[in-house]
Amino acid sequence: MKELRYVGQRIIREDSYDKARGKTIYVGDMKRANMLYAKLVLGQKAHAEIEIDKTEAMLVDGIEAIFTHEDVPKVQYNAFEWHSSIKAPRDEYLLNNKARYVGDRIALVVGKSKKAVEEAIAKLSIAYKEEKPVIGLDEATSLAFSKEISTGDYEKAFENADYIIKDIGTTPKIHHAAIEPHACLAEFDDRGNLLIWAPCQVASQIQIHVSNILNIPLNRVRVVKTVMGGSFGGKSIPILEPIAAFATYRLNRPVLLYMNRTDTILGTVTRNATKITVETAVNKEGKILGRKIEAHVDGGAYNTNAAAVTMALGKKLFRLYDIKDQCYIGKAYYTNTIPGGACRGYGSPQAHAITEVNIDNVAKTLNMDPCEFRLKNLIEDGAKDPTGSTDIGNAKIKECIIKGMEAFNWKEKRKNIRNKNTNRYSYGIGMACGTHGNGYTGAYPDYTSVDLRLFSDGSVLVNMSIHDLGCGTLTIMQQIAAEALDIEIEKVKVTEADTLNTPADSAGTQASRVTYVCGAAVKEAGEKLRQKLIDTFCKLKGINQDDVITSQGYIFNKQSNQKYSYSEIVVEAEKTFQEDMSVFIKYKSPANPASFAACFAEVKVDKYTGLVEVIDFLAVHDIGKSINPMLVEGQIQGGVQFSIGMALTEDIDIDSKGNVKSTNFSKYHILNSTSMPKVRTMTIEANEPYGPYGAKSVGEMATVAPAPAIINAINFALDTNITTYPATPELIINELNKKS
Amino acid sequence: MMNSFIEPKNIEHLCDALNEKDENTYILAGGTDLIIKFAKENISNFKIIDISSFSNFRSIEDLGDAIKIGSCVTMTEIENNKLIKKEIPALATAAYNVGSTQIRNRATIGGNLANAAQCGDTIPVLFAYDADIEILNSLNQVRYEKARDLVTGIGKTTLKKDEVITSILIKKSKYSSGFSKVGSRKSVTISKINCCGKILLDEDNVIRDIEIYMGAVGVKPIKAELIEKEILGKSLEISSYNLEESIKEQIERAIPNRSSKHYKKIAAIGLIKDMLADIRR
Amino acid sequence: MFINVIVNGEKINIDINPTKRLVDFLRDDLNLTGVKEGCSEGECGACTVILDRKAVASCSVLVGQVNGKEIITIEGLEKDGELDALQRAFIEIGAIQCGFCTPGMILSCKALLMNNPFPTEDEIKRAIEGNLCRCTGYTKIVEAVQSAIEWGHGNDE
Repeated sequence: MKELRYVGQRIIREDSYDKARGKTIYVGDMKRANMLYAKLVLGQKAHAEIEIDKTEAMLVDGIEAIFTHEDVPKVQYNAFEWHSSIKAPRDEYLLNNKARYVGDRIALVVGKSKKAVEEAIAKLSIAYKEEKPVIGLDEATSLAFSKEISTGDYEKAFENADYIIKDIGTTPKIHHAAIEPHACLAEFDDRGNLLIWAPCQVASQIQIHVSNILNIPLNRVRVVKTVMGGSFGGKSIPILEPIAAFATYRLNRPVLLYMNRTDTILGTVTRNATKITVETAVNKEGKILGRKIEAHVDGGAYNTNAAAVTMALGKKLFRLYDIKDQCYIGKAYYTNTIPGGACRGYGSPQAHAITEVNIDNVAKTLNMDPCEFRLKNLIEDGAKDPTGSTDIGNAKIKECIIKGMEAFNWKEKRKNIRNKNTNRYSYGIGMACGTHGNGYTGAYPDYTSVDLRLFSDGSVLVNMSIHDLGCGTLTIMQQIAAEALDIEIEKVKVTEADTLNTPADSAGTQASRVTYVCGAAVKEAGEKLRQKLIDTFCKLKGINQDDVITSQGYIFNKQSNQKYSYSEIVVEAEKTFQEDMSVFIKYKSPANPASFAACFAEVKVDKYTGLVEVIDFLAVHDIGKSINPMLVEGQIQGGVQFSIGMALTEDIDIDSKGNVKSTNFSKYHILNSTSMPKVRTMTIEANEPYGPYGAKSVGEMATVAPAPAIINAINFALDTNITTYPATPELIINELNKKS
Repeated sequence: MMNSFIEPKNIEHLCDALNEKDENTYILAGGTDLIIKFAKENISNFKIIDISSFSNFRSIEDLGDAIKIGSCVTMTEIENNKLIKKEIPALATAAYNVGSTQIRNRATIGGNLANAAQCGDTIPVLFAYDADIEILNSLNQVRYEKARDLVTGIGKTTLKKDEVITSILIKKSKYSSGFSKVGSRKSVTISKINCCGKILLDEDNVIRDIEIYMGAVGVKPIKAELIEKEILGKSLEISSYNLEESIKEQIERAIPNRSSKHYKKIAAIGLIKDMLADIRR
Repeated sequence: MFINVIVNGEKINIDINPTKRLVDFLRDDLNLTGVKEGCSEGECGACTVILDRKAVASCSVLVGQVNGKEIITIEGLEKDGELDALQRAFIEIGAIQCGFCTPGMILSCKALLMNNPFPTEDEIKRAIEGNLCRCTGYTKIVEAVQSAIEWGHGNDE
C-alpha cells in the first residue's frame, strides 16, 4: 500500500482562515432586502390553557404579523422524524394550542426590526389558566415509550451470583450551549422555491417537515446548510425552520427567525434527564454473570425522540462488557418540561454515567482494582452483539485501558494518592470506559451519495450533502478525497448540504456517521475516479495499466517517461470520448461497529466548599485511524469539557412548578478556561474494516466516559457513593455530612 | 425635555441632569448590570446619565490619612492599584474575584455598591473598613454616609432619586485584610457567600483587633461577631484554634430558615480559612 | 447624538441613538458581523471587542459610552493583509472549530498581550475566563496563545 500523504496529517482547516478574521457569515449575519425579523413567544407556565390578546402588540410601529395557534396549519408533526421512512407519534404544531412547558412556543411576532419585535412581545397580553404540571421523573406517569431488550436469562445469573451490586442514579437535563444561538432565514429564491438557510444537521429533514406542514412538494422546498456555530445535537431537529418557512410563505418576505440565549435554553430541546437503576451480578472471581438495567427517560412535553433515545441508551449496554445474561428495560415519560432531543452521545452519556459508577462499586465490593476488574469483563476484538445487532468490530477497549493505565501511572497513583490528602482537601483518581456507534446501520436507513467531478482545470468538486457542525468534517472529506484521488489537497472542494443541488443522503450529520459512512463513500468515489482516469489515459495512449502510476495530480507513463497532468487528460478525454470525468457513488453503510474510550481523571475535592478541581485528565480512544490528529484531539478535548460539565456543574434547574431557574450562562455553568484541566489524549489506531483508511467515530464518543471517570475519582477521594449528576458543591457537602 | 443620553462634562452639568432625573432615567456607570437589565426586562424607553467617563469620579487619590476612590473606578483598576493593594488588600482581592476580565474592565465600585446585590463582592470590604460614601445631589450638596448604613437591603440603599455616589473614602490604618468567596465554580461566579476580614496584629503576631463581614447570608453583609470572638487574641496560624463551631453557629444565626444553611455552614469554614490565608499572603 | 469613535483605525462620526448597545451598533450600523452575540448578558464573551486597550463585552456597553474612544474588532486585527500572530496561531494550532467564540476569544487574548506581552499559562486562562467555548475544551486555545507569544506577536503598542 502506498504511503498516506494526507490521511493522518495535521491538515489545517480552510474555514478557520475566515473564522479567525471574523469574515465567516453565520445565518444571524445574513441580510436581505425587505427582510423581516421574527421571534417566538415562549410560554411562561408549565401547563396552562392560553389566551393571547395581540391588539396592543399589533399597534407597535413596524410589526407585520403576530401568529398564534389559530393562524398555523392544523398539521401535527414530530420534528424528530428525519427520514421519510421514520414515523413517530406526532403531537406538536408550528405554534402550540396550549403551554405544555415553560418555553413552549405559543406565538410568533414578525416585524421590520428586532427592536419592534421585542417591543411587541413586551406588549403581548397572555392569560394563562393553569393546570397542575408534571415535573421530573418522580411525578411522571404518562408513558411515551417502553421497551425491553433481553439476552439470556439474567434471573438465573442472579441466582448464581456471589454478589449483586445495585445502584440508582440520575442524570440531568443538559443544554447544548452551542455559542451560536438558534436562528434561521427563510425566503423565496429566484426560481420560486421556498428556501431555508439553516445551521442544521439534516437539511433533508427540514425539507420533509416544511413540505409536509405547508403542503408544498419536496422539489419546491430548498434547504441550504449554513456555517454553524456549534450544535452538539441542539440544532438537529427542525425547531425554528418550519416556522420561519411558514412566515415567509404567508408574508412573501424573507424572514430571519432568531433566538437569544434564554430562548435557546427554554425553547429548543435538551439532553434527556434519566433515572437509571443498575443491578450487576458477579462471582467471587470477578466475572460479571448478569446485569439488569432499568432506565427511566424524561421525554419532556412532546414525544420528539423518546423512543429513539431510550433505545439508543439501552443498546450501548450490550456492546461494552461481555455479559451473556442481561436485561434492559427502557421507559420514556411525558413531563411538563423542555422536550428531549439529540445531544452529543445520544443516550450513551446517560447510560455510562450510572453503569460505570456501578462497575466501580462492583470492583470495590470484590476488592479489585477497577481497571483490572474491567479488563476481566470487557469484550474482545471481533465480538458480536448478543442482541443480534451489528457486529462490534475491531474493539480495542482493553488496549485503551492498558495504555492508559501506563500513561496515567494508574497503579502507583491509586495506591499513593491519598497520601496527598490534607484536612481540607481529598484527592482521588478514577476511570471509566464507554462505547458509541458509527452510524445507523442495523436501526435506520444509512446511505449516502457522492458526485465526484474532476474539472478540466484539474480542480475537484466533491458534491455531497455534508453538514459541518464546526468539527472540521469538510476537511476530513477533503483529506480522504485528495488521498484516494491522489491529488493536491488544495485542489479539492467539498460541498455542504443544499437539498436541490447536492445528492441524497439519508441521515445527515448525526449518529457519528460522517467519517465512517460518508468518508467511506468519498474514498470509494475517489478511488473509482482515479481508476477511471487511469483507464481513460491508457485508452488515449494505448498503453497498459501496469505502465502508469499516479502522483499528486499527475499520471506518469513509465514507458515513455512522460508525465501528464490530470487536467490535460480531462480535456483530452472530454474531447475524444465526449464524457466528463466524474463518478457518482451510491453508498450503503455495510456495518456499524463500536468506538471506545477509556478515561482517567485525577480530582482534588475541597471538603469545605465542595468544589471539585479536575487536575489531570487522560482520554484514550480506540478510533481505528486518525484522519486528522489535530481535529481528533480537538474533538476529544471538547468532548471532555462537555462531559466534565455533566459531572460537576451542568443542570437545567427546574422547580416544582416547572419554572426554569438556569436561563443564562450566569446560572447555567459550562466549564470555562480556568476550570478546565489540560486534557491529554491518546489514540489506539488499529484499523476498522469498512472505515475510510480504517477510521471510526470520535466526536460523540468523547462525551461518554469522562463524567463517570470524574465521579469515580470523587467517590474514591471521599469514600462516597455519589450517583447523582451533577456532583455540585452542595451535593458533595451533603454526602460528606451524611457520612459523619 | 432632556436628551436620552447625558454625558456630564462638569459638576454643574451633572447636577442639572440629576435635577431633571425621572423614574425612566438611570445613572450609568460600568453598565455590566444595568445594560443587561434593559435587555432582559425589555426596557426600551429609558434615559441615561452616563458617568462612566466623568473624570471627577475616575481617580484613586492618596489623601494622606485616607484613600479616596472615585465611584467609577473599575474593578481592574482597583485590582492593579498599588496603593489599594498596600492599604486595603482585601479590596484588591475582592475586585480580582469579580466576574470575568470583560466585566472587571467595566464594572465600577460605585455601581457594585449602588446595586447593593446580596452577593456584591466589594460590599463586605467596604463594611469592614467602615468606608464613608460621598454622595452628591442635584443641588450640588454633598453628604457622607457609612457604607454600612447606605445599604439597607437587597438592591436597596438610602440613595435618593437625585443623588449619585461620587467617591468612597477609606481611612488608612495599620490593619491588614483579606477577602474570599465561594461560588459554584472557581472563577466568573456569583458569590454564594463571601467575606472580608480586617485584623490588627501586634509585634508577636497576635490578633489584637478584628472585624469580619460576611456577604450573601442576609440582606446585606453581616458582622460575624462569633467568629471574630474566636479569632481575637489568637495568632494568625489558623491551625492553632478551632473555628468550625463558631462559624456554623454564625451561619445558623444569620439564616436559620434557609435550606442553603446546611451547605453554607460548611462552605463558610473554607471561606474563613481562605480569607485568613489571603491576609497571610 | 453625534458620536466620534475610532473603529479599527478609522475615524467615524455618526449621528446615532446613544442608547443602542455597542454590539448592535457594530453589527448593524458598521456591518462588523465578526462581533458575535451569544448570550446578551456579558457571560459568554462572544461579543468581546477591545475598547481603549481593554477587552469588554459589547453587549453591556452603550454607544454613547464610546464617544471619543477607540475600538478594535476582529476585522481590525489584520494589518496590510497580514494576519495578527494570534490569528495565525489559532488557525495553525487548530484552536478554531465552529468559530463562533473565535473573534471574542482572539480579542481577549489580544488585549492581554497588549498589556502583558509575556503572560503565564494562568494569566492566559484568566484572560479568557469570560470567553466560553463549547468546542475545544480550551486546550488548543491556550496552546495557540503560547505559540503566538513564541513566534513573536509583533506587539505594535
